[in-house]
Amino acid sequence: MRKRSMLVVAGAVALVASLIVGPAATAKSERQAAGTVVIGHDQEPVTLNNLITEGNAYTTSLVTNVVLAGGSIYNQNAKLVPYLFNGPAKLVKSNPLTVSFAYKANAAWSDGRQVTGADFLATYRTIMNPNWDITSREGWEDIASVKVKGKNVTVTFKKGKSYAAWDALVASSPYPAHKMAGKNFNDLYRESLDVSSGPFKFSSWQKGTQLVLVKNTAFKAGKPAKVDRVVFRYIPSTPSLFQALQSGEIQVTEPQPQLQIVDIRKNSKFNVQSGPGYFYEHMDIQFGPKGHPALKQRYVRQALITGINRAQIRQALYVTPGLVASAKSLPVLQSLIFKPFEEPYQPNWAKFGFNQQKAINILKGKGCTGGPAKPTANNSDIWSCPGVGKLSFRFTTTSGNQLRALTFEVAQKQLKSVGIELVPRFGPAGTVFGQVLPSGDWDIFMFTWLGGPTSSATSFGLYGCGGDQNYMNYCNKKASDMYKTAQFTPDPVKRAQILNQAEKIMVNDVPSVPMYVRPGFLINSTGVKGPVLNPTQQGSTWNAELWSTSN
Amino acid sequence: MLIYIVRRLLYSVVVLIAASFIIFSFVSLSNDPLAFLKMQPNASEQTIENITKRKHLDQSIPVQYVYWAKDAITNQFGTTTIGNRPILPDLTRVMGHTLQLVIAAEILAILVAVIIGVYSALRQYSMFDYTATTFSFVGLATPVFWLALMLQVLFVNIYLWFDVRIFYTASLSGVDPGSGLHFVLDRAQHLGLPIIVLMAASVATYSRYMRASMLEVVNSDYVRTARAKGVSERGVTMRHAFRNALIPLVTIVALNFGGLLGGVVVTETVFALDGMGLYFVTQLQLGDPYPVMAWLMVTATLVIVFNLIADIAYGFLDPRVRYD
Amino acid sequence: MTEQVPATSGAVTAPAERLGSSADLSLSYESGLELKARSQWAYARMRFLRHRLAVGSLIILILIGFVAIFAKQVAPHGFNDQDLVNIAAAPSWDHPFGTDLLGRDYLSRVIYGLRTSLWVAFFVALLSTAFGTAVGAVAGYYGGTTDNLLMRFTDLILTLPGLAVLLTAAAFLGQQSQSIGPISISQPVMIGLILAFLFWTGLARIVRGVYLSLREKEFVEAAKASGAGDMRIMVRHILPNCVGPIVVTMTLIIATAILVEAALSFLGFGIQPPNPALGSLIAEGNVGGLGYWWLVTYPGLVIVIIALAVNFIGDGLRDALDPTQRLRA
Repeated sequence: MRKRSMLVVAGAVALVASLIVGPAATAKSERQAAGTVVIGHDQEPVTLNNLITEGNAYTTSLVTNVVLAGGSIYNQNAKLVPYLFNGPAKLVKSNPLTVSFAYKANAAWSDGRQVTGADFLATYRTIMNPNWDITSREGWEDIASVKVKGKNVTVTFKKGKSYAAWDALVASSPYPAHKMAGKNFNDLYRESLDVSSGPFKFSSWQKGTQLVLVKNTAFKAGKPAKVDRVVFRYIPSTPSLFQALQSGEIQVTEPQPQLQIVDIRKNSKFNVQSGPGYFYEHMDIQFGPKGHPALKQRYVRQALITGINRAQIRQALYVTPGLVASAKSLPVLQSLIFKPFEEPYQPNWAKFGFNQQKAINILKGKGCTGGPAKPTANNSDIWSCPGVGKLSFRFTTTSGNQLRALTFEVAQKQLKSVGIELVPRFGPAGTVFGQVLPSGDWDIFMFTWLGGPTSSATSFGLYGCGGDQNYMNYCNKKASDMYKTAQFTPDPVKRAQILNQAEKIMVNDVPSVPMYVRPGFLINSTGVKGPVLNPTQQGSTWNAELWSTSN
Repeated sequence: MLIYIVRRLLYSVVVLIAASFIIFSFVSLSNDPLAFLKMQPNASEQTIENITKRKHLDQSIPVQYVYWAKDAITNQFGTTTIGNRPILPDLTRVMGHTLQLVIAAEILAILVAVIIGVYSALRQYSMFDYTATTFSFVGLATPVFWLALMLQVLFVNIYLWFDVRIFYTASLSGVDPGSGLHFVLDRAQHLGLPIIVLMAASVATYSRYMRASMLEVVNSDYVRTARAKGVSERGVTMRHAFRNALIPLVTIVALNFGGLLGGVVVTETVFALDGMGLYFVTQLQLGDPYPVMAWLMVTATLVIVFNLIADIAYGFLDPRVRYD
Repeated sequence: MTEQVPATSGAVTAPAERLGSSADLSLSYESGLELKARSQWAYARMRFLRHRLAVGSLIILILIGFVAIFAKQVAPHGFNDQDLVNIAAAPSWDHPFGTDLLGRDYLSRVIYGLRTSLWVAFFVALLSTAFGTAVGAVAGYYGGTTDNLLMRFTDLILTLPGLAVLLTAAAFLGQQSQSIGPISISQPVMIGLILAFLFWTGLARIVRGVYLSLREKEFVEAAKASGAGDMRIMVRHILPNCVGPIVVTMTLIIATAILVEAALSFLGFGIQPPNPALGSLIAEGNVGGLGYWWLVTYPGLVIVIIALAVNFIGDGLRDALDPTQRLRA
């Protein structure tokens, strides 16, 4: 008995010892010799086909954007710069909207074929083919004709359908015509990408663990990649992602905003970048029949927005903990159309400053009763307003999102002290977005719109009467018409003017409470040089060919 | 004996069918299978209609059940709602990984538990016995996920302080898993922490059982007889007591399988291991009912199989068990 | 200890059978039942009090229970008193457990979380004990087809992989408060109901066994002869004989419920914020690393202490009430 247990102990000791000296040394040296960058991400792609519904995810774009390169790509300033195009796409005629562009002479597929206008045409046809589960045909469906002449393409839109975001539309990655022909597009690129037009090509995908891209040596349209491999490792929980980063298992990551970023920022082994993005958090108010009747009163909505200290929420969640450098780098959002860093941004919502006494006075002035006379932290008196009942609102948002839960808790406390009650109705993302949001059976709903540099052009869908994503059933005829006009105004300056005017009209109705733009973070270990934060959906791999490894 | 096994087998099949119906109606009634898809901002009506048709979602639950059961048997559980991915290949992949984890953890747990159990039974009320008992109580009272988090932080910091990599804290294998011995070591370094976490609860349970059954056997008449006949103390322990004390452990280990799965779910989630637990949690978060149902069916089958094994093994090992 | 003792009201109750190690039924009739029964409980109490760990644990648990019940009076701050300047502060004299991401006193949050978790655990334990006892009693007392049906159903529930079914139910049903007709069920209650649904099976089996073995005994026959109904026999005559195993199993359910609820909440399918629960506190506080260790460590330690105490008490109770059941965990 005793002898045997001694053997077991000895064996265990030997095993542990070999574990320490064994792969620990080898794995590390191999990685450096190979010039590999390891990117950690919390979500694994479902498919590598970026155009179909389930491939429409940021995690898919991170992989596909460096394999199937775009005509132009968004750089770190959210400006479109030519990539496979030999120059910016040109506006030939404004009515009907006609644009032209050409692919670079040395733009080629990794199997030797040229990237030509035929690829663009095939991509357009694929997107318009009703058999395929394409995520969105917005803009594409406004195209009247596509004329191809070798590397040159001319696209004409339908009359009166001058799609405003045409430059981003034509710049999307062309798919290889010679690979798509005769295939079921819904099943294409589900597991792998067999050809590349970008600096990297697909190598392997070990499901549930990692996806490996290797350098595409045939890539001549731009700078060749400096590293041999880019490895995406999928670690589904953010805390584990941070642990993996610290213990050197991954080198680059774009984490959710979390306190640990503050710690990592202090660590000289890591480089942390942060900046505003196109995702904006806001609280929508329901105008439809299933919403709370009180919220259909403008004065109640005004009291609501006046009673929420948006600056304090932003301060508490991002600035005080040190997630962002200063309050300046994360301003309170005062527009639902443009982001603070965009040129046409105007603080249209700034007229609703935080003022608790004013919120109380608004309600008192309209004959509401039962609320506090003065704002106090421990108040438990809730207002009731004539004909519309008690100001107790259902507050819906996704469960499991820490920042939203915290935002709710701060806002709930702030409103409680002026006599407005928020009752949490949290649910899993699938339920609240899939069922609750479209049903209109909610009072206040906090969520994020995932936007992009061109999303302002399509504001009609969100805020126009009967817009297909106007889940709050808000309708102001005048503003709505202007949003519609803007959608088909190709001139960006003119469009911005219209949009700002429309928003000024909308603001008076207080249909929503804009909160803040959610900042993006990019962390890389100092062993990797080159990653630059990109605020658009282009993603952190937008310049991956410039990354290099050292030490 | 054979009749008993056959009857037990038939009964298991009936239970499995009943379980499948319960699982199906429970999941279908509690969740809208299209919720996830509807949440995609641009999922077209056409797409939703296609899927409704493909999965017969416009039919009543019993009809849907028949289609689903048919799909499960003839078509390997069919495909996911999201992405139309075949379910079984993914499930088999993660099952392989989980089995590696579970088998390694269980073998080690049994080894350690038997040693601790036997030793504390032979030295009842000794310092070792008290310590072991205390630790097993603590092991049973510690939430698995909390232990996992603590170990993760500990080993990350061991790496940071001493620059020594003992165990990795996430994922299943390294960037370059390699092959042969290198692969095995790499895998062992990745599975190390999850194994320790899974072992903790198992060792606590098994060692208590081992100790109790060992005590019972040591104090039984036939062991006393053996001793009286002059069999050496070592012989008594090994040949008579130890073997018989192992019998109840076999049952406990087999019946513990369902409980072990709970630990697996939590452990794999914390350590980002591509196994059944993480797969399950991910699918639940997505809200896709088809892989969830497939998963529940596979595990229910495994639990039933292990129960069956427990029953039969008990019969083989313990001649006192009668069958009727 | 006295609250464990059911009132032994004269007449025919015979709780002796399983409690005494060598209780002879006919003897207990002759020698005066009331006296005999009381001495059994006295034995049990004595045995329990000898179990020092169990007694210590009971004192700790009672203290923890007081803290939970009087959370409003005990907690130094409200669970949602935000101090948005003092965010994620390390433990100090002002905040012994530090503060959380909104500057809320973490000790207070742990106390309120403790309240939710303990409440859910006791709710689950009571509900599943009642249900398990009822099912076991009916199955064991009536036997035959009733028994067969109920026990097959119990087996079926036992076949389902526990935590996974819980997770599914919690994910699909337990994320929001539900309303069935006019009754609206709050989210923590929902989670409690789901847990209870899976926890009654073990007890049902045990109780069934006792009923099965006792229903033919003389004292049951006697009660029947004196015209007692089935209900009365099941509740007044046989049930007292199961008190031992029921109480022991109940403590085990409490411990399990606390751990499982914490795991559910940690995975994000359990009790949702703003209701604080120990598991969700850990999930919320798991912002990683040693930098904010108190957010994960303290609620975890509290779970360990409660589960440990409950397990020790269970152990003591088993020694005291059910000495033959040593091996059933």
